[in-house]
Amino acid sequence: MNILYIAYYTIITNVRDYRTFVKRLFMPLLITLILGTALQGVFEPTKLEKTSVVYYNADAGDVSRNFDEFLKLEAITTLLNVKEVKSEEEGMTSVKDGDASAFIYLNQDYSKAIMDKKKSAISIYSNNVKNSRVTIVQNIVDSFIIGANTTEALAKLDSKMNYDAKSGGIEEVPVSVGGKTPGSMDYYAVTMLMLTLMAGALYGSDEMSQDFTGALGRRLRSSPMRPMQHFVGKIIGCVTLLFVQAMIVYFFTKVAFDANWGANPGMIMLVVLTLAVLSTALGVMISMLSKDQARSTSILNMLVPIMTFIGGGYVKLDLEQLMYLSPNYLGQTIIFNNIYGGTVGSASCFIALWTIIAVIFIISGWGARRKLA
Amino acid sequence: MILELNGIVKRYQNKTAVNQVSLTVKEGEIFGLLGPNGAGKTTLISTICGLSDPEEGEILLFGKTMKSAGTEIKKQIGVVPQDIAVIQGLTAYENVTFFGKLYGLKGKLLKERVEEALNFTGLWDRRKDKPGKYSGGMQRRLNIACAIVHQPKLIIMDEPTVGVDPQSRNHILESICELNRRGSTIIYTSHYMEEIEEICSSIAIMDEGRLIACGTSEELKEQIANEEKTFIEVATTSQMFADSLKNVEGVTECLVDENRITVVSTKGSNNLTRMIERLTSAHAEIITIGVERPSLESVFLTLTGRTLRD
Repeated sequence: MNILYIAYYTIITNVRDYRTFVKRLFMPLLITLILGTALQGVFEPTKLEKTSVVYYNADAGDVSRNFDEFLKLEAITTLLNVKEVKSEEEGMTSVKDGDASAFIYLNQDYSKAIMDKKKSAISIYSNNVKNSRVTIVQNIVDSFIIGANTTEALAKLDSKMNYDAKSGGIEEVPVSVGGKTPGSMDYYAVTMLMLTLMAGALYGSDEMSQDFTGALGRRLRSSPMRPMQHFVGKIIGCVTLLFVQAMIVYFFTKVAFDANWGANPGMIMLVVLTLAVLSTALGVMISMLSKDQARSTSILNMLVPIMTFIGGGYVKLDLEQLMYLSPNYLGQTIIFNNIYGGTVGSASCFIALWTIIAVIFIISGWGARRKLA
Repeated sequence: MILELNGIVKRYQNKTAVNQVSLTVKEGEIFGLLGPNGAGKTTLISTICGLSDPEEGEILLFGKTMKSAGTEIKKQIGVVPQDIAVIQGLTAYENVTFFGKLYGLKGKLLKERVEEALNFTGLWDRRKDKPGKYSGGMQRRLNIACAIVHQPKLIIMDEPTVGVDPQSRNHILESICELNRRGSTIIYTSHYMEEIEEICSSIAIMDEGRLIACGTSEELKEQIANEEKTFIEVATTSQMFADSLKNVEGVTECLVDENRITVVSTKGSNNLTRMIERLTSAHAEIITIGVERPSLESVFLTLTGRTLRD
């Protein structure tokens, strides 16, 4: 019963410290409101305008003429604004000066190399290969090459089938974005939920510091209560408190901000619960290892915003593998995939991963506690 | 015996905080542990409470060791820590209830004991307030209420009067005596010798981790007192007065400083009446007379060469 007493008193003492509780509860909601409103434009989908491309064909062969014709297809001209230049240098200059997004170049031996079955390529030059417009150009050129290869393969098979290369390879589909991609409010509701959960590590840290390292801790340790009961009771109290707080954020953003949380609240609750365990465990471990409440709080006050930042919690980022170090990123990825129909296979893997990490944190915290006396 | 310590040694890194301490506390005693700050009192108390294990020696509480019967022993002990150790987010009533539950109290008995503890410490009327609204003295009393709610056989109090006003201090000291009258054995640590002298039936003096003396207040004073001082204030001083006192039996020294005569006598001379007779015969007009008895302060000074507050 002592475990439940400890959990109960942990919850009520934190709720009664209403100033801190309200601050921890409403800060993420306030940030959601501010960022969600201010960055609305960033999250709105934009119409795909034509991509400006310069083109120089130095080859006079049949294959390259086919490419000339390909670029004049209606499917292509709706996507690309192709301007022929008179030399390779002129094309390069246009790209350098920013007059065109990409420069497509066929060298003088292009057709001959293909006819001789030698290696050949259509070159694409750009200032920024990560630019989405360059990707469009690459896809269009790829679709020509695939078409040419297919035609050749069919010819070899003596087939009577024809390959119709009228598609540009990229389709502009008029989509209704509602429910398919997150708006700013939807995005920040999720990322701030993650912030709430990670900031909840402070509950674990504060409670453990007060009850295990301070005067109260010494008094409790001299009581007949078993240390394990105390430890587990504290963790249950913190996790419950944090879970409830996170669910308030969830319901509040859903009702007041009309945030899209999808149709699977069970999955969201599972993510919230397991992340609450992870976050509490992190706070417990740091407080037990640092043996000082102020030091533990300082560490978490630095760590939580960093995890939120690299997880793209404040602004959308693409930090590639680094983002996987942030529990915020993992959590919000599961939730976004759940809401917007992405890959859900990784969810169980992520949840299992951070649950194992939480267990390791708790065991480390317990081990450090034994050295406190 | 309630408590028996045999050769306790506790070290922190290179410092020996408690060094070969052996003592016994009998049932029904108020046992005072006196020593300056840093003497090792709190470390010794922590070791007794089972917060840390001694490197050497054995602790027997109620005839058992913490290892063999830790939970059973702890249920019979109430600890009042040096610092205020209550939950700030709970009211006084909830705090005492919380600790009562930890010690296994339930239901009606718990409610009765909580009320009793709060009444005893004079906090019942303010039971709905949180500790933050209390004065320093009231917080100290709440600290005590949390330790006595389960009516322990042994109450360990680590400097419970530090930083409190005289009124609260008196209340606390009276409470300790009352708890003792009700049957609890008390171990009371302090660096205030007046408190220890006032309430304790047995006293142990600690310095630099060692137990340097142990016994009743009188026994301790007996150990060091070889002389007594008498201070006599007269209206007008004359060397003749001093000379007349020098011949009194037991007097070893007589000093005159303005209107004040200091007479040093051997211990147990009982010569005050004769000194007054001599002065009266010499037509001295006596204004005040004072006798200096050995104190715990002088005991500590004699044993360590330092005062308690050095």
